[in-house]
Amino acid sequence: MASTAAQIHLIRPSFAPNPTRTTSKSGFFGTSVSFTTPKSSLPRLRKCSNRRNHSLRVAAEKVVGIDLGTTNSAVGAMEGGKPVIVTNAEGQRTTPSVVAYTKNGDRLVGQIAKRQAVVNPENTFFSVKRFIGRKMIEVDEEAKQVSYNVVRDDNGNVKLDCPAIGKQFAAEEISAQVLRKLVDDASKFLNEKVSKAVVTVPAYFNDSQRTATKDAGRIAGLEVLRIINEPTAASLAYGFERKNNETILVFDLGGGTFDVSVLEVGDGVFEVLSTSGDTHLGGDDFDKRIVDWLALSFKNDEGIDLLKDKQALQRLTETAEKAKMELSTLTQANISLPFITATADGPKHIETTLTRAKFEELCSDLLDRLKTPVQNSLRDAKLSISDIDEVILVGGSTRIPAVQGVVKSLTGKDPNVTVNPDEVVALGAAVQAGVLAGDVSDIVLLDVTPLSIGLETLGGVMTKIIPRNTTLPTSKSEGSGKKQDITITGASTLPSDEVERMVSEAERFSKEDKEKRDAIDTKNQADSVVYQTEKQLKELGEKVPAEVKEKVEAKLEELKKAITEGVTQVIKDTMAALNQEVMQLGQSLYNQPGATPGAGGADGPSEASNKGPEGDVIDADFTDSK
Amino acid sequence: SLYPRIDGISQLLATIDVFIYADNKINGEVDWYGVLGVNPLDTEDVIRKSFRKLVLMLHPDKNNASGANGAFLLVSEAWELLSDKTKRSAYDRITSLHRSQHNVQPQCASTTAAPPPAPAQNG
Repeated sequence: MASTAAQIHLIRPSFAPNPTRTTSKSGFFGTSVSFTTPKSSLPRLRKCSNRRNHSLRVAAEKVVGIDLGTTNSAVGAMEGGKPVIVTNAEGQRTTPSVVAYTKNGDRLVGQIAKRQAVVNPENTFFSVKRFIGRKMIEVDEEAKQVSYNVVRDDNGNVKLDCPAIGKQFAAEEISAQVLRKLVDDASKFLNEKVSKAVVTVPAYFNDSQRTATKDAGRIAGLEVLRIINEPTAASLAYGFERKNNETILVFDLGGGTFDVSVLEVGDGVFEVLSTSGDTHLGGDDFDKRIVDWLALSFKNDEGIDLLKDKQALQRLTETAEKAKMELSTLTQANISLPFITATADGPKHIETTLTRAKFEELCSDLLDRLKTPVQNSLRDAKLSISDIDEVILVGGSTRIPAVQGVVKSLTGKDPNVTVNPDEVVALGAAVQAGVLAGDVSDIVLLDVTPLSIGLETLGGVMTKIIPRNTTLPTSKSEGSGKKQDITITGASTLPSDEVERMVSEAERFSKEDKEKRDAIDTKNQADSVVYQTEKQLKELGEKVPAEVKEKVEAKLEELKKAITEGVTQVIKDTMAALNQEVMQLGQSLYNQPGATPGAGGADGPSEASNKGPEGDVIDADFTDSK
Repeated sequence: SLYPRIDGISQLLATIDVFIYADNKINGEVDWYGVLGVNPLDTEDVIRKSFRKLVLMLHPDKNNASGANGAFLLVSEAWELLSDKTKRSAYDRITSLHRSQHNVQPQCASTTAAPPPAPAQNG
C-alpha cells in the first residue's frame, strides 16, 4: 500500500444553531468521528486490546525517551524519579543524526560518521529528518541542499542514493540506524535491555511523517509506544517539578523545523492549547545562508561555483555551522578554508570574516518567518501575549542572538533560560515514557496534533479532530448534521511489506555488525596476547624449562597463523589453548625451586572454547601488517 | 474511602458519575457542568481544577478500566465547551441558566458577588 486513504465521516457540530442534538458518546463537541483507514486504525485497535489485556501490569523494562533530531539526537530515561540524559558510547550527551557508508561497505553512525563527511560526501546522510515521510515534490528545495543524491522512487517517494554500497535507502532506514545506535548505547548505559521508546517529532509533522518515524523505530527493532510533539515534550520537562499554574509558550527552532506551542500547565495536567510552525525552517537554513554567501563571493572573485563540488560544499557547510555557533557568543567569526579548490593557477583558499551584523542581514527573511507561527499560536489559543507566563526556548538554533531578539520583541519577555535547549525534548520524552511505564503517576498530557488525524488519537486523545489545513465542504451543510466524507490521499509512507523487508534486513545487519565487532575485538585481543607472550618468553629467557617453552611457542605459532587466516572462532580457540600453556608456564616457574613442573601438560582448550552457534566464518576487514 | 483496599475505586466512581451526568438532559442538552462535577455558577478556575482532577483519573495513560476512556472523552468534551467563554455562555443561554453572570466576564469575581464554589460531586 503506497498511499493511505483516510475516510472521515463526520457529523457537523450542531450545537448552537441546532438544539435538537442527540447524545454523542464520544468525540468532541458533538462531533463523532470514525476512521476507516486500514493502516492507522488497525494498529490502534491492536494496541487497545493489548492495553486491556496487560493492564496495570508494570513492566520492569525501561522505556526511554528519544529526541530524534534533524542534526542531533538525544536519549533520556527516568532514573530515581527524575528524567536524565543518557550519554552515548562516546560519552556525549547528544549524538549527530548522521549515517555514513564507507567505500568498503562499513556503516558509521553518529560522531564518526559526521567526522568523515568531508571525504565521503555522497555516502554521508545527514538532515534525513527533512525527507522522512515526504513525497519528492514536497522536498525539492531540501534535496538540492544536501551533498548526497536524493532520488524519486516509483511511488514518488524520496529515496537516498548510496553509491558506496550501490543501494537506495528510504529515509526511514537511515533514521532507523540512528535509533539503533541510540538504543544500543542506552542499553549499555542503563545496563538494561531497551526495546521500547517514546519518540518525539515536530508538532507540525503530518500523519505520514509520524507514521514514517514509527516505521523507522520498527526497522530498528524498537517498539515506539508513543509519538509525542517536541514542544510538548519540552513543556513536560520544564513543568515536571512545578506545581503551580502557568501558561507557557514553547518556541522550538531545531535543525530543520520550527514549532510553536502554547500550553496550560497545572496540577500535573499539561494541556496543549495550540500549536503552529513551519516544517521547512530550521538551523540548517541559517547555515545555508552562510554557505551561499561564501560561495557567491568566491564565484565573483574566482569564477568557480563551489556549490557544484560536493566535497567543497560539505566543507563550506561545516564551516558555516561553526561560524554560526561562534556568532552566538562573538560578534565576528573568522572563516578559513585553505585549498577549497584548485585551478590551473594553483590552489585556491577562502579567508574571510563574517560579522554578526552581516549574518543577521543574510538571515533577515528567515528571522521574519519566525513571527507568523508565534502570532498564529496565540490567536488559536485565544490568548494575548500578556497571558503568557513563561517563554521556553528549545533547539540549538535558539542560541542565535537574533532569534532571541525576535522572541523578545514578539513576547516582550526575557525567555526562560533554566532548560538546556539541546536536552529538554529528550528529558520530556523520558517523562512521558515514565508515564507509560507507570513510573510517573501524577502527570498527564493532553495534546493536539495540528495536521494529523489518525495516528495520535490513542492516549493523546485531546485531538481537535478537524485538521487545520483540511478544507471542509461546508456549502449547504451548516448545522444540517449531514454526513460528509473527506478523503485524504497520497500519504508518503512505505508500503507495509517494504517495512517488513527493511526490518528483517536491519536484523540481519545488526547480527553481521555484532559478528564484525566480535571479529575485530577477538583479533585485537589475540594480537595483544601474542605480544604479551613473546615479551614474557623473552624476559624470562632461560628460566623457562625447554619443554614448556616449546609447547608455548608451538601454540603461539598456531595463534599467529590463526590471526592471519582471520577465522574468529579459530582465533578464539587457539588463544584459549595458548592461555592454557601460558598458565602452565607460570605454574612451572612458581614450582621451580623444588619440584618439577606440575601435571604433565594441559589437554588443550577445554571449557574456554565455547563453540557457539555463531561460529560462522567471518572475514575481518582489518589486517595488520606483520 | 469506601473500600480503601480495592484499587481504583475512586476512578470507578468518577467514571460512573460522568456517565450519569452525561445522560442527564437539561433542555435537551447534556449536563456538562455535572459531567465535570461543578456548578453552573462556578468560576473557570474551579471548573479547570475539577477537570484536571478528573483527567488524572480517567486518561487512557492512567486508567485502562472499561468505560474510563468514554468518560474521559465526555470530560474532555465538557471542558472543550465550558473553557470557551463564547460557547459556555451560549450553552448557558440554551439551558437558561444564570445568563447574566457569564455574559460579562465569567471568572472575574468583581462583576457580581461570585458565589462560593459549591462542593464538587466527587472529591
